[in-house]
Amino acid sequence: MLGSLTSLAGYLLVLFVITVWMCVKIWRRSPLLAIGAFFLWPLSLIALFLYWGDEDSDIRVPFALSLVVSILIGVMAMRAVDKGIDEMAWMLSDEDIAQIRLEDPKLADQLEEARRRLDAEYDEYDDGEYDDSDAIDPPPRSGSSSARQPSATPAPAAVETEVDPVQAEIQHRLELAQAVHLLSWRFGIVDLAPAAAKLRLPQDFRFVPRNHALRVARLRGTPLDNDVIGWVVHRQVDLARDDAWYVQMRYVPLETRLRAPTLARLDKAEISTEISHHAGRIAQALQGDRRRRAEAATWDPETGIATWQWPADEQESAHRDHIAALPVGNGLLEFSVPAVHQVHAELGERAARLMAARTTVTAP
Amino acid sequence: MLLRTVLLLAAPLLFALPAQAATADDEAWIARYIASGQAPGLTPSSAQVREITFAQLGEHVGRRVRFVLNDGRSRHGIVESVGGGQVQVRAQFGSGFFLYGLSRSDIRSIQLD
Repeated sequence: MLGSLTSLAGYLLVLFVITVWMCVKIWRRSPLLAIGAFFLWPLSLIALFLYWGDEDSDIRVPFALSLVVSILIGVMAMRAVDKGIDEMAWMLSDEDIAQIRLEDPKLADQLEEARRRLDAEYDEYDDGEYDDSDAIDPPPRSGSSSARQPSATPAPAAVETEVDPVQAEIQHRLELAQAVHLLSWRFGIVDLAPAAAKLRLPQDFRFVPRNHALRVARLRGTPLDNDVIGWVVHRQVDLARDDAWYVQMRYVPLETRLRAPTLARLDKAEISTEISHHAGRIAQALQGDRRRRAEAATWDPETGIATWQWPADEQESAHRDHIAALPVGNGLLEFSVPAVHQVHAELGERAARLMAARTTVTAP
Repeated sequence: MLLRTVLLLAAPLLFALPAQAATADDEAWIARYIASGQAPGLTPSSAQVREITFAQLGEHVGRRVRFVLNDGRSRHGIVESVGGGQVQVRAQFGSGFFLYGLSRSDIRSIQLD
């Protein structure tokens, strides 16, 4: 989009120079007509015919050039608009498009059309590139960010395939890098609606709301559930890398509020058991339909924050989702650092807990 | 009376301080970890990119590396495990991740990426 606009500005500059050239030529015969032609392009037609073949004021060459450049500008402008609509279509949520429809139904139709087209192109690319590939199993599809599945197949890279998976990977990486580049960030204090809470972002961290993170999430293979609020990302972390880490926040309303246990009058062992049980209950409430065993579950009675780990996938791998959860109203705010390798476990644990600790509940 | 008021006012502070200290501790730890270059997801400067041997791969499990293959192509991924002349690499693609193996004999060079 920016590239198109830059090219457009370049063409406009060229048109300006040609117009000045044309006006200088007309000025030699009629200064008034030259000024008029500068501001009102159709007047140059009069000069074209009046001074046709004139040694000093013939404007056939600059006029022809200005026509060509004008056509190019028109084409560029139309392409820039189409590209802008495509980019908007990726970034906007269904709710945003519905809102736009109230004011501009035509634009909303264009956005939906662009989204359908891009989805079809994406699916075609996503499905087609790996068909019949012996070298690498096709990556499995998943409906949610917490349902990643590996395909564990040793793959000698030298095996000949119809579609080169390396090329497909390069293309995918480029697409992801472009999507990351287009993210728009928020800083400072972030409203975590629908949860009645605000997060004071730590220094060097930034927030990208769900609507804007959708495309990057899809390209990273972690499509976002509807209850995801957004991601908090350190400014030095490149989301286009496989090993990028971030804190994903989601709000899960509960039918019944989870009551914190009363620890007074309990001995040390009972307190420890009670804390572990309460953290387990919170983890259970956030688990949904999945059956994952919360590891290292604990709860801090001072802050009300529960923390634990979940296996990042259903295989026995070294990756864990690090979770911190905070009760907000009748629900739970979940801060999750997904799929962190065990060598970086402390980072995952601290990052999730840090965001939970910097969150302030704004309504009881 | 004054002492009671001061104690009442100080009580919430006493609870809040350890929590704030823990937050500051987490924040400082993350900042140090990132500054050390050990954290995942960071784009290394060209000076930080260094070549390692296959034998050293075991020390870099969980790190992202770049393999240049004998045919000149390169692959990126996170080292999952190393053994028996093979390295298992985890890479993300499309709507999930996949694991693939590379043989020592197929690899020309390895860079910590």
